[in-house]
This record gives sequence, structure tokens and C-alpha cells, in this order.
Amino acid sequence: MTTRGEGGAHAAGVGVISPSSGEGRSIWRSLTRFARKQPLGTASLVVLGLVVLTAALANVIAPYDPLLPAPIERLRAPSFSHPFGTDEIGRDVLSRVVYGSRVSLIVGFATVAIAVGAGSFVGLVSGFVGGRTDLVIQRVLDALIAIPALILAIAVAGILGAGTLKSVVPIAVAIMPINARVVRSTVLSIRERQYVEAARSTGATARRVMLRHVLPNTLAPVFVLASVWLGNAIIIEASLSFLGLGTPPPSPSWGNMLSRSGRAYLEQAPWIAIFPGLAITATVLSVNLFGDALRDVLDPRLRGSS
Amino acid sequence: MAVYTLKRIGVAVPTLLLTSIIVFALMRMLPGDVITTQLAGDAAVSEEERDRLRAEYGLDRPLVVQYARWLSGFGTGDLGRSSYTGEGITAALRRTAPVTLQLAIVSIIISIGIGIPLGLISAIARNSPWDNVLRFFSILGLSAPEFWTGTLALTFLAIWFSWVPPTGYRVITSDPLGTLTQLAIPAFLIGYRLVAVIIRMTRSAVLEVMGEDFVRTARAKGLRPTSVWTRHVLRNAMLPVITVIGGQVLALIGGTVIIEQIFALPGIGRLTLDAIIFRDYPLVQSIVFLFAIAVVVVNVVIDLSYAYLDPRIRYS
Repeated sequence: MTTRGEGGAHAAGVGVISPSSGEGRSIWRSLTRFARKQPLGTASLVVLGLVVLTAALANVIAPYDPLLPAPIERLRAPSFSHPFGTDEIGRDVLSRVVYGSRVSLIVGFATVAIAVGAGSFVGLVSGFVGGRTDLVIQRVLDALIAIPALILAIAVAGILGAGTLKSVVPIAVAIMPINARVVRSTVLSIRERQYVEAARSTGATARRVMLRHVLPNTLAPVFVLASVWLGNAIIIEASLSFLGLGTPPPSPSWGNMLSRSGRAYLEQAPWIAIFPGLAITATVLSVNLFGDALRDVLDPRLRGSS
Repeated sequence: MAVYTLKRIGVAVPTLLLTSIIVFALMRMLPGDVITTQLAGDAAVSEEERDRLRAEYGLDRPLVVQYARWLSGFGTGDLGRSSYTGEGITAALRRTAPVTLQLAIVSIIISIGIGIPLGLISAIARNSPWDNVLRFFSILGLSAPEFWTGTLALTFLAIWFSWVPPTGYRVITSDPLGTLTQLAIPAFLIGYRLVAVIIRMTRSAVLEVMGEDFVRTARAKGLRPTSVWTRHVLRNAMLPVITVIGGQVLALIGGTVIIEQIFALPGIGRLTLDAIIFRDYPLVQSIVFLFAIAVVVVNVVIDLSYAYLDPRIRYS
């Protein structure tokens, strides 16, 4: 592996993360480079873009009102007028899947923003300050991580009660400690690098070293992890909704479309279950494939092995 | 090894104590207490009756006393009663734990049996079409939610084979074959997620070990390829895989809640969900902590086996 190759990959990565850091031309070059090297990652980014667009334009795209029952149209198989069929009270499944994307994306992104933000802060402080602070923070994180994420999310959701925006809290609580743990270990290795020592020896304050030298270098791994958490968050949200602890009916979410109401009719109308699940799987698959491609680009060490 | 064991347990105990405090505090964040939650809309219940119930559940005592009582229950086996069914919590756990445990064990066996060979194929034939198919298959496994794969499995088994999950649970000691047929499909669905993780981990671990100097040495001195693989590559590559499997038991425990719900298995996962839905907080509190105990114990066992297999860890 040549040095030039590593530098190129790094530049491509930086371009992807923060377009503001480069000029227009180099962003374009980075993007085309990314597209050429990571066709699967690019394809998944396109799918994700489509999902975001669907969520944003749900009211334009959805052919029917997702909440309006049409008793004569109930349990219709997929057809030209109802591409995904209709559910047990005649609502259009396609329209419900389209609107359901809003719940998944809003909860997914909000959760990741909170969990990654809070987790990175805790991890940064813990790893950088070290000593007793680190010890205490690590024990508390250990204690939280000991509770399986979904169980923790279910328990917190049970206490808070069901609701779309309320489900952000339990998922963020479940993801935050794992993120903090990873950021801390990254900080620990960065803290020992020569450029940090150099900054210290030129008299930079601890705060400055932390914010200007350590923090920016944790961003690449955090960004890759954020894609993993996004996939997890979407699945946990859907699971909570499925269990009746997330978005309450009749509002459509990809999780609650598979929950109790429709389940009794599945043998007659399997499409009620197939399409929302397909939407979740396609979205999370894209997130995961994109995260994989991102890791290949941002972490040159892994390129030899993959 | 003895020193390391003591050290490791020395870290686990305070962790668990902290977890128990967090869980206890979490359940106290409810507005009001268990009694007000349980009798929310029931105006007919007098204040005296409520006080009597509070005393029965020990809720009139100071928090520290309540906490100490609850925690010591894990030693004495008296965890109090469920506030919804009135069943003893220990009895409820004894009734449901074996089902979940069997489900988990069968899932792990299935996932190891499929995951490690596939991971090896992926590593040996890396960057080949086979490798790409397997990588895609494993990422797909991480992307499909269990409640969906479970629901589809149930639906299509019913449509194509008229198979419905039996309502009663069969005990493995009296009806081993019946238990296995009942557990096979749910265990496979949970195992599929695990398979995905194991394939990825085996692949990267094997590739990493293959680049080591000692493998080149083994090849250079003319060992047969099979011997290089089994004695040098596999032995060293399996260590990180074991850790990952252990770590995934965590995720797997969460999955049982959903799979048990779908397949009507009377395990702890289903008990958890019922407890949450019926706001049975004494039960929720004990179950969540029990999960934490299981996770910490599994982690300790993994770390110890890791240290046993790799002496470098013991002395660092």
C-alpha cells in the first residue's frame, strides 16, 4: 500500500464528512472517487437518499390518506390501484409505508444525534481527563452496558409511556454508553500521539488540546459508528412500536404496522407484514452497507484485509 | 490465573451493585408509586386500602431499606410478589427461565455451526464472488428485524404447511424431540443475526492471523497446509470469535423478548413484556437486574476463558 493511496483515501473521507472543509471542486472529486471505489456504498447512499426524500415528500407521494379506512376495500391483494395491497380495515399499505418512513427516520436520526453527541462528550472527558473521573465514568458505563440494549429500551419506554418522540429517549439511553466506551478508547490512543505531545509542549491549554487536537481525530471512527447506531436505532424503534411501546396506532410506523391489529389477518393478507418489513430491511441494509464503505475509506488499515 | 480470576470478579461485583442501584432508581422515577400506577383509575379503592397495600409491598419503608431488602432477595430467593398476578417473583422466574435458556443455547449452537465454517470460507476465498455473497448475506442478517422475520416465518409456515406454534410448552427432559421442533425455528431466527456477526468476525480474525509472522514461518518450514490451518491459523483466530459470541449473547437476550412474543413461548422475554404492559414494576425491576447478572456472569466467564487460552492477558 502506497502513501499516496492512504492520503487519497483520507482526503476522500474528509470530503464526505465535512464538505465545508474543502472547495467545490475537490468535494466533487472526492465524491466521484468514492463512487468509483465503493459502488455498493454509493448505491446504498442513493437508496438512503430516496428514503429521506420519501419521508420529506410523504404527503405528495402517498396515493391515499394513510389513516382513512375503506371497509369495502379491506384485505385487497396488491394491484395497480393499491401496489402494496390494503390492510384489515382497507387502508392503503403503500401510503402507510410511505408515511411510516417519517417515524423511522426522525426517531433514528434524533436518537443518533443525542446518543452520539452525549456519548462522545462523556467518552472524550473520560478518556482525556483520566484518573478518578475516568474510573467513575467507566464503572457507571459498565453498569449501564450490563443491561441488554433492547431490555433497557423496553423498560425505559414502559416507564415513559408510548409515543413517537418519547421513544427517542429509551433508544438514546440504550446506545449512548456503548458509543461513549468506543470514543474513550479512541481518545486514549490519540492522547499518546506525537502531535498531541507537541501541542502540549508548545504550551497549549488542556482545553485547547482536547478540542483542537484530540476531538477532530475521533470524528472519523465516530462517524462510522454513527451509521451502525442509526441502523440499530431504526430497528429498536420498529421493535418498540411492534411491541406497542413506540408509536401508537393509528399513526403508521414500520413497526406498529406488524403489531397486533394486522396479525390476525396475516394468513389471508401477508402483504400487510411483508412491505413494512421490507422497508425497514432495505433502509437498515443501506445504512449498514454505507457504513461499511465509509469504514473502508476512512480507515486505510482495513483496506488490506477487505 | 487465581489472581486474575479474583481481579476480574473484583471488577464485576461493584459493576453489578451499580447496575442494581440504577435499575432500582429507574423504577422509582415513576410518577407516584406502584400502588397508584396499579390502581390508576380505580377510585373505589380507599386511601386506607392503598396504605395497607403499600405496607404489604414494603413501600412505606425508607428507600434504602426497600433497596436492601430487594437486593438481598437475590441471595435468599425471596423477591416479593408480582403486583399484577400476585405470583411470587422467584417462582415466575423459575418457571420461565429454562425456556429462554434453552432457546438461547439452541440459537448459539445453530449460529456457531453455521457461522464459523462460512466465515472460514469467506476468509479463504476472500474477494471472490463467494466472499461477496457471504458478506452481503451477513449484512442482510444484521438488517432484517427479528419481529419481521419471525412474523413472516409464522405466516408462511401456516400458509404452506399449516404449521402453528403449539400453545403449551414442552419440557426438554420429558419430550426432547418435541422441545427441539418447537424451538428450532425461533432459535434459527435469533441465530441468523448471530451468524451474521460470527461470519464477519471469523473472516477478519482469520485474515489477520494469516498475515502473522508465525504463519509464514510455519509455511516456510514446510508444514502441510491443513496443519498450518488447524494448528496455527484457527487456534489463534478463534480467540476474538469467542469474545464476540459472548458479547452477542447480550443482543440475543434482547431478541428473545420479541421472538418469544411471536412464537408464544412462555419464557422470560415474554414475562418481561407482560410485566411492562401491566405496569408490574416489582417484576420488571427484578427481571432487568437478572438480565444484567446474566450478562456480567457471561462476560466474566469469557474473560476468564480468554485469559486461560492466552497467557499474555493474565500477566498484563
